[in-house]
Amino acid sequence: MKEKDHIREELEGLSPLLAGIKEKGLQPPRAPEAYFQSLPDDVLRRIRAEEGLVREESPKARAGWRESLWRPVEFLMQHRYAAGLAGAAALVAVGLYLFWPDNPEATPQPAAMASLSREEIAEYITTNIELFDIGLLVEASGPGVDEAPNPDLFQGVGDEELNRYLEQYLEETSLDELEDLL
Amino acid sequence: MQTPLTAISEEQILKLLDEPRTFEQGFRFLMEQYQERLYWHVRRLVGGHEDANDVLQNCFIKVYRSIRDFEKKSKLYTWLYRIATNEAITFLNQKKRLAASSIDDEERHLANQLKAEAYIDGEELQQRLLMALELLPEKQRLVFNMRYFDELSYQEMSDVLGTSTGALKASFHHAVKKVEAFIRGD
Repeated sequence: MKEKDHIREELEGLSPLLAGIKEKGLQPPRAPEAYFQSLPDDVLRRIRAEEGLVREESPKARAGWRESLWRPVEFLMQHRYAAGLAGAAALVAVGLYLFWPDNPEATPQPAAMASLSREEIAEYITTNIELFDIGLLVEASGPGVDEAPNPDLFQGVGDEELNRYLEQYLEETSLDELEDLL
Repeated sequence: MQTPLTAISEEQILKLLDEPRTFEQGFRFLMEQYQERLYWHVRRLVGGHEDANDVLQNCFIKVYRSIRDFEKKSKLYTWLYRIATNEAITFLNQKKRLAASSIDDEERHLANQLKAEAYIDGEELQQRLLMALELLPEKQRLVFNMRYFDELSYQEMSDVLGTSTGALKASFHHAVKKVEAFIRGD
């Protein structure tokens, strides 16, 4: 016996009136026209909108932002640019070494320069590296740019700082400029 | 009642939902297949179309996010029905509609109003039936709707509500008696 028949029997026993109403068929209220045609699209639209908001705020999304920032750096780390990059990094490091305020061997600085912060000096060097005599910088760095830089040069300069300056330098330097450094 | 253009089985829908590539297509089929039954179930519980639409959309969004948790221990429709029911109950609780209307408070007033009418035709009987449902306590209304309109077995109702079949039978019987009494104006 089908469930429908069970229900009819049960209702006839409990309330013939309700069984009769059901038997006659109920006129359901109406849903707006085309409501069911558009509902799946409405739901999917809401899901996409809500997922879009979540994606913007999620930690995964923030990692993605960092990834996109590093993509050009990874591109530059390819073999053809790696040597130029190493040279540029060495030049920046040498510049920092020579002009670092705490460095006892640093070039005597004018009073105006002494008042500059490390960040300001670093920014100046990286943005104006073309103003410096590359030959002198290379000479000051000891080994040639194609050799490993003297580790002593990096004393007092943290890895994070170097990475930050390198990153900034790469952002501001075109590929042509990097190739010119080779 | 409108049905999807292409009839598709529960198994086919679940298969599509299993594959990331076909997930959205499967979800669309799921909505097309069950939206009307769920809509009328929800609408009977919450009343108007706007509220039913809100509840049903929330229900489908929940389904979209948790369909991977569906363990296939029950029918897909039973699982969907449970989510829709819970959404409707949450909605009703939030609006505190039931707190504002209890069968004790309003039944007498409405019944007296209806007693004044000399003749009751089929349409009016239906109207009274729907009015009586509005005044039932939430659980009884839910049970009445599931049994009377959606024609679920007590076992299916038990799967959805987590209540024993015996308690559900008792609840339905009470609801039927109350609705009949209201319609008769007793």
